[in-house]
Amino acid sequence: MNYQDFSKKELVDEVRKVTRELEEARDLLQAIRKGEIDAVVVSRVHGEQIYVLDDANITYRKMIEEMNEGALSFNQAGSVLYCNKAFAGLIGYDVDQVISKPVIDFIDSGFHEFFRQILVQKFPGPVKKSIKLLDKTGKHIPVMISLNNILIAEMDVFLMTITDEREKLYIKKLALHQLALEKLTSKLRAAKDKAEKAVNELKEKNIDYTILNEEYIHINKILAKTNKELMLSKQKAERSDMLKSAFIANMSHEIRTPLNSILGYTKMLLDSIDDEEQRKHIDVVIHSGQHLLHLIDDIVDLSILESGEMKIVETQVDLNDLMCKFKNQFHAYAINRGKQHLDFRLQLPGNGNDGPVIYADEFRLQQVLNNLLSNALKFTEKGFIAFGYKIINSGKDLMFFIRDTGPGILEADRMIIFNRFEQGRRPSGSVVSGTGLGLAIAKGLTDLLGGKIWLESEVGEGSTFYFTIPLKMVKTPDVTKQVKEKRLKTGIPRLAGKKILLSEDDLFSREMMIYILKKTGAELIIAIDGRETLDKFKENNVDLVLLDLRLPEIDGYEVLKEIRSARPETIVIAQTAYAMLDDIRKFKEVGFDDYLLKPVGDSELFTVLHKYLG
Amino acid sequence: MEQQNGDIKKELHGDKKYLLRLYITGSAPRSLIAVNNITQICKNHLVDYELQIIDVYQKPNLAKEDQIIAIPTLVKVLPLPERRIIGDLSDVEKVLYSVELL
Repeated sequence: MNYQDFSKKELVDEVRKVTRELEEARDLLQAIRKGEIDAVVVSRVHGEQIYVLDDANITYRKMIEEMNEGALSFNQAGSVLYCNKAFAGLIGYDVDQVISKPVIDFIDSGFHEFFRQILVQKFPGPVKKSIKLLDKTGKHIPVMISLNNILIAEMDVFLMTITDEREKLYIKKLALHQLALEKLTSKLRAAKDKAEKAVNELKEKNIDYTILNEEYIHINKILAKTNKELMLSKQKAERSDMLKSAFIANMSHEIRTPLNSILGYTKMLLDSIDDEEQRKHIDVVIHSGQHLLHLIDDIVDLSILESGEMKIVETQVDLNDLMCKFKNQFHAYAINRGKQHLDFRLQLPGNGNDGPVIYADEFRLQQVLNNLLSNALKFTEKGFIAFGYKIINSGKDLMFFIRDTGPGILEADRMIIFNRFEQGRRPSGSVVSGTGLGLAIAKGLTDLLGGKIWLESEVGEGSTFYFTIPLKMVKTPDVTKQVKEKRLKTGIPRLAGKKILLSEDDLFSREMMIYILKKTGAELIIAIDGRETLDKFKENNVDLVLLDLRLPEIDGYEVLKEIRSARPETIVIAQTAYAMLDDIRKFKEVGFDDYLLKPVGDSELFTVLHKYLG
Repeated sequence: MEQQNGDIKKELHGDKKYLLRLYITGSAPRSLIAVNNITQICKNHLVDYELQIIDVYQKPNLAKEDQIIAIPTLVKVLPLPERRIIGDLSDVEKVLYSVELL
């Protein structure tokens, strides 16, 4: 370039232009160095490439993370890749409990097929659908989902937003109530008009209309009353869900009390009868009664699980001990059911001697194992039932397994088998007995304990049920407790010389307890209300008190307090017909040594007596 | 290369005095702030103006034509001479100086 060709003005302009461009280039570099930018655009052969700075995506992330609408992505295998807080919150989990899990774990089984279709077949394009989610407690949540499918880094990814429709459905319901209300109002208004017209007509005809006037006032009153009733019924509907739990608790109490008497007296009857035929009949009565009792327990458990009110109480558990107990118990059950040829195999890791002592909710853990083992025993006619546990995920989780050589589970049934009231069919097609609650409870409980439950099955070969719980090792096991638990004896305890105070207001229950307790040879002191219990407690130096909780005069909890302040070393066992297990867990907290659940059977009572007086 | 979006017209719609073009990347944080700032500045200081917000994710070709290197960049297209400012435009004085209002 030859500057002599430029005029002075042109030169000045040129210098200005270059200076400005230099300034801009300097600004650009400074901005980049200071990180004042979001992205850099680079020209490449295939077009413009945008390089985004690390934190440039934070707004998107925040938006999706914090928006008040569920967002979820999953891969072609159906595993959750990402979910936001709103979604996790909707189903009662933490975000990290959802990610990596199968998406259908959080969706009501009725819509599993829809998801399978979408995953397996070609995606038809963006789709909206009303479905139901399954929250942590197993409750259904109606939602609207919107699904799309995109490629991210050559990976097929499904994007889903989830809108809570409970509010909408509720408003819909309210609108229906409103509509009904309006309809009724207009009907009554028409009636009112008609009446007024009639009154006027009569007036014209000079007839005394006081009576009709009264009628008119009466109609108005009905109108007001109906309006009020409609409002009340709406409120009632809202309360009914809350009342459900209370109702079930109450019902179970009401059913258990008479069952208590039926079972107890039948057992007494059994002892006094020698005729084989009659004994068989009575056995049937006892068996049916016990079945009914199990059913009540199951329904109560499920209702507590559903209401999300079941709490976890963790204590130290010697795992191998627990498993051995189960082996003996189920071996005995098998013999009882004429399946003595079944081989029960307990498979423990290592040499099976020094099992881990863990923190776990022993009661709930036992319940899950019990339900799964009962299930295996029910279906297995020959071969073996093998069960045990393994430590997996490098010590993070415990995995229990229950393997049987039963008929196996049809593939179509494997998904529904954990649903409430649903049962699989036997591959032979015959109907299965039972309530269909056991596995639903097992699933609800494993969810509650923070684990998973699943099964593998081969028709004709057998089934294996697995469930996991988080492994929490105890560093310094409490030895005394275990030793105590280990020395459980059965059979009639010999308690001559011991004094037992029995406190029970219900005549039938009392008679039954006396009948059982007499076998032990202990000295019995009887009280029929709270006041008498305290009086007799003060008069006699008793070793053990069997205390009913619902006592007249002074209730069981008050009696306990007085006993504890007078002679704290006395053993006090609660006995109650409350079947709400949650209540029962409280007994130990308030200071009972143990509890017995009505109807109290010989073996339960003897076990407790062995434990504390033996 | 195919130019779906066509050439950017360096002309104003109607008889407006200013044509400003802000390049952003979606709702990235500084882009978001820049949009907020430029709309405020335009509202408070300019009368006859046209403001174009261009998301380079949606229209990458435009960035090439305007030789955009960093985002966000504000280009004062008209009146000439063309000026550009990089960053989130929070320095109002600097923006106004570049747009030659001060």
